[in-house]
This record gives sequence, structure tokens and C-alpha cells, in this order.
Amino acid sequence: MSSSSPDSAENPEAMQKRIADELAALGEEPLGPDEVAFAMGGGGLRSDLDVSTVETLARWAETPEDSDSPDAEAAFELSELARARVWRTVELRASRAEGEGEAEVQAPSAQPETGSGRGVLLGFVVAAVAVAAGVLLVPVLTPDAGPSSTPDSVAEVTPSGGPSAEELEMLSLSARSGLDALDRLSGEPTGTARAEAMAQDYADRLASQRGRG
Amino acid sequence: MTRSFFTGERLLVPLVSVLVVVTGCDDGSASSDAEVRNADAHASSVGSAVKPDGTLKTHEIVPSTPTAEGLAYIEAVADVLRSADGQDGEARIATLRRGMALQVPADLPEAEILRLQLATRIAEAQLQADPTAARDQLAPMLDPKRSIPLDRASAQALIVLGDAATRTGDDALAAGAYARSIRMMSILREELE
Repeated sequence: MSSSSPDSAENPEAMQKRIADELAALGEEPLGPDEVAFAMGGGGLRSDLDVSTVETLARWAETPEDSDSPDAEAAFELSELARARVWRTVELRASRAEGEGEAEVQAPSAQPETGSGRGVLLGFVVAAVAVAAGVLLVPVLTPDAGPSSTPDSVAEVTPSGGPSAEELEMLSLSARSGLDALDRLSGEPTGTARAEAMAQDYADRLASQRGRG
Repeated sequence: MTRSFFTGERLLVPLVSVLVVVTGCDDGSASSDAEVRNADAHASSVGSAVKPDGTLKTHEIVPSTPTAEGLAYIEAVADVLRSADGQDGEARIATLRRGMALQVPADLPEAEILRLQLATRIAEAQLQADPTAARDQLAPMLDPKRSIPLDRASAQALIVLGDAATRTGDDALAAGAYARSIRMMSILREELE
């Protein structure tokens, strides 16, 4: 993962202080007891936290594009602190998963710029959904090869056990949310409208080519 | 900052293979035009997979040099999709199948995206009544051994495949499909930024 991640050798006190310092630098409040327990815990799954995090990300992704609508306002009522905490939760899970093995997850290049445009936020949501889902995949797919995220590399996947119904549901939710967010981020047509746009673009290019000829 | 996969300026290279690893690739063999054209004829054992396979190999679809035949094909597919929008059930499936049966002109990599759209729509229409048919519709086209287009259409198709696999009790296939979809979207997101 390319984002800043806690040093696995960092002692709990130092880690807690570093997180608090980072949040303070963002103007945020310190971690709550649950978050501290999560960050300092033994790495066990906290399914309630996972569910709430993914649900929050999904809600962002499903927010209507019209930012003035009541639904949008409701979805974005989350405070900057809440957003930072959701991100922190995802990042901590990803970091911890990396410590346990290869986690094929992608992190955004930077934390979300709270208060900035929706494009940035949507980009963050897409990335965060991917991260959350990627972390979820760790217990589902356990690669037996070393890190291999460069193109043309080869690795095999060995299952560590079948996915549970809950894991499948989380994966499905994450995938749908990611697709919705991606569509909002790209702004491109989908479905039949996309095929029509492809036809129009192709026709324009053909006409242009004939014009040059 | 957005980028279209079908309005770019690159015209000469029909297909650029980009092998991307998710949780792993198998033998790393690149796709070919022949493989693309024979997509649906390719037998797959995906549906019977026992273990989750998150392998994702992708290639970028680069806009081809336009031809009259290519335009006719794309317009025909768009027409099929429009017609299907106004139909339900078996009539919709039959219309979409006619789209799948259209002869793909040579050197039209965009057709792969359109065929994925058609197959996804068919699978969506089958999902409730016959999830096995929905799974079998998409599984060969999305076999982890094959390279698939780096495109939203692939991500959506993988989600529908995951849904169909879930309904048929093939949890391993479902997990692999969802995982590959999420990875695909992560790559697409990076492309957009």
C-alpha cells in the first residue's frame, strides 16, 4: 500500500500518539475508545465496525449526484471528523492486513480533502471502498506468493477457506458501491446510452477520417 | 479529470495488452484478437470452480481506425439495446441474443465491450428465474484465465456473475468475481485520477 501506514514494529503508545498527532494536525478530535481499541487490538476482525464502515462508504457512493437534494445533504451531514474516522478505520485495517500477508488493496494517494469538491470525495469513496473490500478479501483469498502488484508478474491464489455468507454480502455491497461511485466520478453514460455514445463517437471519427482523406 | 475509453485519440494500435495482477495471475498469456472473437466459444470451467480465484488479467481497449462496417455494428448493437430497454422477460432476452449473434467486423476491439454489455444484460434478465443460465452466460467470457477489457463493462459483468454464482451456491466463484470487479474498479479509478 502506498499510503502512510503504521510501522508494524511501532509500540502501542507510540502508535496511539502518532495517530492522535495526525488527527490533531487535521484539526480532528482524538480517537474514541472503540477506535483506540481497534487500533491497538490484536488484529481480530471487528465485524460491527467493518459493517458500519462499508455502510458509510456505500451511503456516500449512493448519494444522488445533485448535491443540493435532501438525500445528498443527509449523506454529507457526516462531519469532517466522521469522515476522517471512517478513513482511519479503513486505513488501519489495511495496514494490519498488510502485516499479516499480502493485501492486494489500493489506497488513495492522499487522505480525502475534507470540505473540497465532490469529485475528490467520490474519488476517495471509490478508493476507500476498494480498500475496505480488499481488506475483507484477506481472509477469503490468501496468496501464497510474495507481493506481486507489478504488471506482467505471476502469482497464484490459494484459498484459506470458503467465504462466509456475510463476507459475500460485504463483497457484493462493496462492489456495487464502487461501481456507483466510479460512474459518478467518470460522469460517462452507462448502459444503452453508452452504446449510443460509442456509436456517435465512432461516426464522428469516421467522418473526420473521410474528411482528411 | 475524466478519461473516456472510447473517445481517445489513439487509433493505430487495436489492442494493447496490459497484464494486471490482482491476487495473482496464472500463466500470464496475453489475449489476442482471435481470442476476443472466439470469446463465447471458449469453454470454461469457471462455474465449477471450487476455490476462489481472484486472478485478473486485463487489456486496454484502444479505439480502432473507424470503418463503415465497424460503425454499422456499433449502431446495430445500440439499436438492440434500445429495443431491449422496452421489453421484458423472454422477449428481452431474445432481442439481446440477436445482438450477441451479430457478426463482429475485423479489427473492432470496441466490440468486446459491447458484447460484454449484451451478455450482462442477458444475465441480468435471467438472474431471477434461471441463475444457472445467467452464470453460464458470463462465466466463459470472464474466465480468470482470459484477459478481459479494462473497462466499466467488465466490472459490471463481474458483479452480475458474482450475483448469479451466489444464487447458484457457488460461493467461491462469487467471491472471486466480486474481488476481481473491485480490483478492476480500483484500476479504473487510478486511470481517472
